[in-house]
Amino acid sequence: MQYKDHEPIPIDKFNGLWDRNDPDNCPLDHFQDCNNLRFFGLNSFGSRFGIGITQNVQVPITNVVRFYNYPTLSANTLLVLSMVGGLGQIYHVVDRNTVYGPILSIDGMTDFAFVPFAGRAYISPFTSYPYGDTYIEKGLPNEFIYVYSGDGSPARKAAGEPLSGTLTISNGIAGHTDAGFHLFAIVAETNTGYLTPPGAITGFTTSPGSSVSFGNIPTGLLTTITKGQFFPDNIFENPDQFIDEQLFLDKITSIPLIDTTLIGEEERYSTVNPSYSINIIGSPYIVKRHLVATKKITNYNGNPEGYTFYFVPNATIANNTDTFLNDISFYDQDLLDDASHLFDNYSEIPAVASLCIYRGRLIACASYDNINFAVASHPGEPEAIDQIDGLLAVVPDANPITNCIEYRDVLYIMRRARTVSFNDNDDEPATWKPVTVDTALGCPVHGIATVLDSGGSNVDFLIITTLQGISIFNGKYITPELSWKIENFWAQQSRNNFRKIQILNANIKKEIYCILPDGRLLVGNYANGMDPMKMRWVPLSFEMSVNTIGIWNIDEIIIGARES
Amino acid sequence: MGTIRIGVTPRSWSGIEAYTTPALGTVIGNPSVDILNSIINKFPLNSGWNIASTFLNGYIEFIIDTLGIYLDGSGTPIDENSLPTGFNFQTLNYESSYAVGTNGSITLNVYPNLGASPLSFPTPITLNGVFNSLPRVVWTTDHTGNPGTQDQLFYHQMTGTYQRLSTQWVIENLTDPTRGYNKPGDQMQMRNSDNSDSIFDEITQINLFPNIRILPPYITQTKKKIIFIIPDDVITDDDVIITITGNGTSFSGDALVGSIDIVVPNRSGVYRIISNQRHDSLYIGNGTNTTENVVIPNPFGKTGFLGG
Repeated sequence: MQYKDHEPIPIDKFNGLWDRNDPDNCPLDHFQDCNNLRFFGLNSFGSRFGIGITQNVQVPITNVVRFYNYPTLSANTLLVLSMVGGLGQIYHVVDRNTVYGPILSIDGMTDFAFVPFAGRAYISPFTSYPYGDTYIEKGLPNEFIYVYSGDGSPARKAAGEPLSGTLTISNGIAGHTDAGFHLFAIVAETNTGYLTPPGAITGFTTSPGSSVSFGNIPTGLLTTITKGQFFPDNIFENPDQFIDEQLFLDKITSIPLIDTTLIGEEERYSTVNPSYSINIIGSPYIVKRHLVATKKITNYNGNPEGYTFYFVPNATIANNTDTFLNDISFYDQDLLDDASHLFDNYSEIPAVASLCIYRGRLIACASYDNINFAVASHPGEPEAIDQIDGLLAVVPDANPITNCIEYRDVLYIMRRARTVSFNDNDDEPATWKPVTVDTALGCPVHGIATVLDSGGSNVDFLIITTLQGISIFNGKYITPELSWKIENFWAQQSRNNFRKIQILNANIKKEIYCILPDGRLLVGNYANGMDPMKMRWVPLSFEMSVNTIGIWNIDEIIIGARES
Repeated sequence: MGTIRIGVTPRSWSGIEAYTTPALGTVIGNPSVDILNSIINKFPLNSGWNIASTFLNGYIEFIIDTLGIYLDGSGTPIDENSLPTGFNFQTLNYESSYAVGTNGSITLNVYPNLGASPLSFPTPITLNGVFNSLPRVVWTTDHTGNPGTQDQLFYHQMTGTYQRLSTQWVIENLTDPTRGYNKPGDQMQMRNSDNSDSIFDEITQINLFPNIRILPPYITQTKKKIIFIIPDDVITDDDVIITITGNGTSFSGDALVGSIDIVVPNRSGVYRIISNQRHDSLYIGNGTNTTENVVIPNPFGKTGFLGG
């Protein structure tokens, strides 16, 4: 029916949700409210496409809390955190038909930070802690950064302990040294290239005209519990305790015991099942051992770590089994490659809430004990982090560091409402000077848009979720923000749950996907241009809440959901 | 849904009519009308002991040759051989005793069947499982008092139990009969496999293990079927054991029905957006890769005010 003199108003454009200021001001070509739509063409819309399962396996992963795209050397895969009954378990989803793991199981791991490096995955368990009216994220206490090789074997703690023991040293066949007292030690090299601090330090006075031979060289050891020979219910932390003190172990092939489980009288494991045993085996992670030595010491003061150690040329054992190294000759002038800095490295790196790679260094932020510090590794050695020179101090704030990322060769470190930057000055990280970028805007732990890999820039800008909205960052937060049209909508999201936000930029689809604190998914279509006035926003909802989002196979959007 | 056989707690007869042959029994001597009415015509034995008195010398002998049995709560007697399908006798008890009056003594013999030896007496007699061998009861008195004066008292009662031994039930999902599993919110129907009358009207509680109780009113509850809804607070996705509780005439107590597969929806998992797919295909939550298709929830767009 058409009323007299009524002029029909054709609406031939639909530009998504408009939710700012008075609802009466909503333009005709926008929606006051909408749900589960998609945009196609320049002006059209329809119901969103449906979703289907990703895994083609009999027992798919459930209760998905978080996943990341994990680019290995040969494929783009997924690391998926599933949490059941308080136990967080990370699986490696290689493709639709192949799942490894769990590669890492940690009680209380409700989330994890991740960064890929040379095909490996560096993983840090963290969780949220109540903090006033909100939550903060920081690494789990007594937990560490882990490294996963990508081949399905369990993740292990990154870095490593020095070898221990005492070398037996004697003169070898005719050779040469600078005769006199030297300290010798062994540095183990892991399969990820990490060099342990020198261990088994032993003094010896070399003789002129003789080489030096070494025996009793320690090997790297690993403690495991053999699976399949015991019932987890039968393992107790203390045999004198009641049955409710049971220790439930993970269903994986073997379990490296963390040190705290083997040290201390009350923390030794025992079992009523005689077929259960703790096995100490040669560590498969140690692939080489290097001889290091000091130059001749004329007046030894008894402090072995007070001297500079150097790698001895051509004194490497290329396995983890041999216990001898014979007939080594060297002059002090051959000792050029300093190994002393290894003493200061973390042998186990505290777990943190955020990881990134900056100029080949691993950056780790917000540990359990210090939410204001970040640490940086040596370039190209992500597990070699100097406990003193590797510290990056950010001005203390009540809020912890939440995120970090490299952009245009600058390291940006965010809190939820602050952003600072660091520049690598080619000196130790502790000398880098922080520069305040923004004192009001920052982002939550998953608030930087990712593209394929763990995160980062593309098209020379970042897309970051801040308290004001979804913003473009190109060294500063651009206003108006991309989500300008939906300012009210964004403001209605629970700030205390911004930690649940995860954002992704699918640039082939020209869409931004953002997990919202309420378990919905916000989509911003920028096919008409990445401009606040041209963005087309729409929230998507599902029968379940969604927690995490990723992109697979270049442009396939995948989402993860936990049991509601 | 498969067939389920149930056992039901035995119920007691609430009323029995005992008819005798001959109609008034074989009376020796001079029985009074009172005792004939009291003993011979009926055993209105629906609530414990009944009393009869004699005013005669001699004896009375009669045979219980037919019985009318009242199911609990029913006003219509049924023949012992005419119990509904699935019902079965368990026991029939005849108990008798007497009190000696002031004017004589009495001897009571109860024979399990004609020609058999008398059972011991005066200990109260219980006859079990003799329904198909109806007893002969003989009273002998040596009444010496004045006619019309009650001087011997007979106490007697007849009780029994019957049991619904088994039946074959079907539990069906009315919400989606083809889905192959059940979930909270589904309407479930229990009925006899042959759609005959059953005890569904006597169910007062449906129990889903371990602690879910579904109480009336149900969507439908008749003799033939009961329809209920699986509640939302079912917390297990294992096979859920169902028991029923009743307090009716032919069924009371608890009975195991069996188990049904209830899947608590757990949509968690990893999904992907599929171009041109018009529905969501979600895990059902039973730990496998089984999925079900659901509609995309409420897609809509609400335009701004005209002229706004």
